[in-house]
Amino acid sequence: MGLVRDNIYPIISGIIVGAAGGALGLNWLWISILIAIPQALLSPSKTWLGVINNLVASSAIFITPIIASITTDPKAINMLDTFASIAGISWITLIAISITAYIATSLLTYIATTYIKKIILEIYAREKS
Amino acid sequence: MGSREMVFIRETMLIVLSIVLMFLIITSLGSVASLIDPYTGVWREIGRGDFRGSIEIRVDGVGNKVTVVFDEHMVPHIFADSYRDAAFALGYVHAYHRLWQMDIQRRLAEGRLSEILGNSTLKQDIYMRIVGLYRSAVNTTEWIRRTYPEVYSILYAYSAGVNRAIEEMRSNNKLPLMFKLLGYEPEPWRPEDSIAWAKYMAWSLTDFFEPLRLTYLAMKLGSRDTNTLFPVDPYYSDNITVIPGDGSIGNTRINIDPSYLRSLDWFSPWATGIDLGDNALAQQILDAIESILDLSGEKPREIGSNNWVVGPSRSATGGAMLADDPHLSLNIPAIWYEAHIKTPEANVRGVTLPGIPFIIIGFNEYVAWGLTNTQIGVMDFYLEKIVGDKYLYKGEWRPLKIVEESIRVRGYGVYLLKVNITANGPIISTRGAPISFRWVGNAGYMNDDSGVTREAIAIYLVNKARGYEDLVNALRYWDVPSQNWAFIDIRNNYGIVIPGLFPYRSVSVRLPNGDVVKVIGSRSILNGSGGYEWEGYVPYELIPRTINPERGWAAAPNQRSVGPFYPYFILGGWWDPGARAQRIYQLLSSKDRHSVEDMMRYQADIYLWYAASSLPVLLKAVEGYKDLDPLEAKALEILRSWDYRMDKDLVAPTIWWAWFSSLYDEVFSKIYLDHGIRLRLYPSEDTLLWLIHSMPSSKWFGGSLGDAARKALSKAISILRASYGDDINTWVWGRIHMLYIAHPSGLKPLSIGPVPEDGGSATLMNAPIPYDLKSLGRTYVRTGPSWRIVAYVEGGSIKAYGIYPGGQSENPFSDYYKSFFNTWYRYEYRQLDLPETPQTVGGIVAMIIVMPSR
Repeated sequence: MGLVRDNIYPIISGIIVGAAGGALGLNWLWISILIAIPQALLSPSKTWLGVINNLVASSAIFITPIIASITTDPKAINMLDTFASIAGISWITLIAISITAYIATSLLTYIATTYIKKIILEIYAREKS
Repeated sequence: MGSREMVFIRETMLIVLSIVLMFLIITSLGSVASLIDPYTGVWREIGRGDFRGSIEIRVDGVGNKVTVVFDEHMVPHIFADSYRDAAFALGYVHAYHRLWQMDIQRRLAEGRLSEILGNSTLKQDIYMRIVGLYRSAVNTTEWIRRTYPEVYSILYAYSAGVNRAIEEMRSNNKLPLMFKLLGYEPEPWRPEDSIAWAKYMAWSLTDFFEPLRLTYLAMKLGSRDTNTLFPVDPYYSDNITVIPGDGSIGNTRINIDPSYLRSLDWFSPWATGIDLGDNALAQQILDAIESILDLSGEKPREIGSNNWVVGPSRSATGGAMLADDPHLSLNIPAIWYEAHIKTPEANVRGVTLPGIPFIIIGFNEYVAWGLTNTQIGVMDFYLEKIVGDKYLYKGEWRPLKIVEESIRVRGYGVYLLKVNITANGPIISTRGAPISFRWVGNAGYMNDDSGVTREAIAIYLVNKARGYEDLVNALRYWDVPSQNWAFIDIRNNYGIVIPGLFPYRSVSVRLPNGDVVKVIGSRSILNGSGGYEWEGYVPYELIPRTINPERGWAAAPNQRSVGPFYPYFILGGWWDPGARAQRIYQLLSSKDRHSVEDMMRYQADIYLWYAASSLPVLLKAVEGYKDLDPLEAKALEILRSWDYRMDKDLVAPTIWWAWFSSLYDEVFSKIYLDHGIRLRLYPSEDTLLWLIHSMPSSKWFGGSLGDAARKALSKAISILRASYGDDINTWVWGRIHMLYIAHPSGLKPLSIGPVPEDGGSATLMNAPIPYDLKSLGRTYVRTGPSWRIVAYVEGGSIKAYGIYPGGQSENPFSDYYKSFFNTWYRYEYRQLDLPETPQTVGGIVAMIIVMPSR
């Protein structure tokens, strides 16, 4: 049950919410935040587990559609080549930078939200006691 | 402090740190992260706008069903029950394929680029706000609404179509990439935007600043030399006018000896009301002229266009033929967009300007037409007397009309501009003497300053013309820009009409001999305090035209329009000096009958008349010099065996261009420098040619053409050697003469080229670079044939071929971004037909059914 509660639920909830955001046409920033929030609410007992959950969910949400685009449409590579030549870096670097940014943003949102949750719970507990 | 507090502080710091890091990531990545966004990023650009399959939309904007089918080139064929409904569909597909281009174009015309591009375009916006195209566009649109509701309904339906597409793209997160890159969204399209773009096109084809440049030269160089370098009529233009004959219209002709008129000093006070020799005023005027040229960014242009028509007596097929290729700035996306519209009013095909709901150049079932620029001055500049907020006009001090313009500048706030307007027009100088200008596009067809002009009416009537008579009647409403309209019809009529508003002055133009003459245009700034204003426009009955000329053909590659006895004296004829005209006259006279393939071959012709006319004299001038080094001698040897074709694979054109460029500097740079002329206002090639032939021992050549040519050759070869090495065989023309078709963003990966290119600035296949050795290796060909069409009558109907460099879609990741380019580059064409039904369109790849929502 620990694995399900600590990992599977948060990961699946992050993926579902992130995918829903993608389907609604939200941009990467909102999707990063969306992934992190349910994970923070369902955060496991250990912080490092939550970090892993977030990394898994956001990687799935951000990397899968890019791989799908590249593998299903040869024009995608041409397009990335064009952008890479505008930016002066290879397209792999371009994608790596972007994905790192998306994942890092989601992770930071997760961390911030987790601690906000903790503080709120703490304040609530103090007032109650 | 207890451990709980410590934990609390640590957790708070983690929250703050996370938020700060997030902020840093978001701000430092900027739009890059958005571009690669897996859901909303550039992935959506792949094939955006490339319609596939069948789509049905229901809209409020149409009266009946409209069917749009796209052929394999993504050209829309629109079938509708009315032109109005077709306009909705055209707006819809224009937006899907060219929305960002349309948005930038209207912003350019309306002076609103800074709203999205910031400070870098503020000067351009200020210029456009002073010119006031948008003010005229608003008045024109309102006039069309009141006077021609049928045409207004077309403009309105077109706007509705554009707006429907904008809404769809917005809601599907599929707005074009450039909106995402620049971080803004398009506003709804309005009929005024279409008219504003038409006004901009008119402005860009008639904004001849020559009176300012010539005033500047006359003040620095003296009027005599200015007249030598810039004669009223180009030196070799007498026998190549667009309209054959002496210029008289029926029995109406000018009653003053034209050669006397040409010989006069039109910079004198009797002609301008200004004493340019007045030293106190001179510096003020020079400052003002420099400020205007600086604001406008205007430089002498090197563009032009070709068209010609051949009658049945000279046609291999026995049917009339037409060729047209307008030379404009070549950009990607291209200025043109191809379309076919079939309604009860018209079955018409050709190229449209995205933003405007009509076929501009093309053909229908009855007529074909093509345009070139007339280049007759329709703008005068006036020196105003202003004290405080009043100006002197006809003896009274009148209050300036002040228009307040506010320009939003992204990242900077709002720039407030006050435009001062006199009875002549807006003050355009920003320092020195106050100089205003009057332009027909702002004066309007009633010359009442309303800016109302009627091109939209004319082009609609042309689109549905059923013979040349309809076309000629429609052109009564073609106000600006004046164009050489070449046409053929299915009854094998052919000809050229030159419609437009040509303002003339006569009250003020009392010649030294006491005669009064009606003058079109000016060569100098005029006195703005009254007496030099326009008296009216040339009536349509006296507009030049040639219909079914006896010689069997007519041609209008921007050369002088009419012969010397035209009823009005054209003082402001800023015509092409005529090398292309000389060449097409040569080709059309060279054989009895011309085929369709000949017409295509002539459009691709790269023979340089200037080289043929001057090189033998130059070679002879330097042949006595024994001090040539081996490379110079080899260069001359190559030139001696040259056939004057500016072929990209030949070495001779490079040597010719470098030598002629060097000769320009040899002839003019020292004299210009001695007179303090900072602007590079060199005359055109025909003047240099004329000096070579007529004044070889003049001061222009330092007393000896031979010495000047020898020196120029030496300099040219040494620069070529320094740039390209000692192996002369590698100096091929295509190495320095390269075509670059730029994307407006300036991003090279979105552009075409550079690629080696044939031709030159005065070949029929027009591909100009300036005659300036300093530009060697740094200048690309950026203008040229923006559309080529060859139409002809066969079996009682019109057939056509056409091509433009670019593609239908502005999306760089579409198959149709530059799909026409290679065909154009190889001088090939696509056949253009006029299918009667959607089912008869060949190679259909997609269909859109537009249904009324009721």
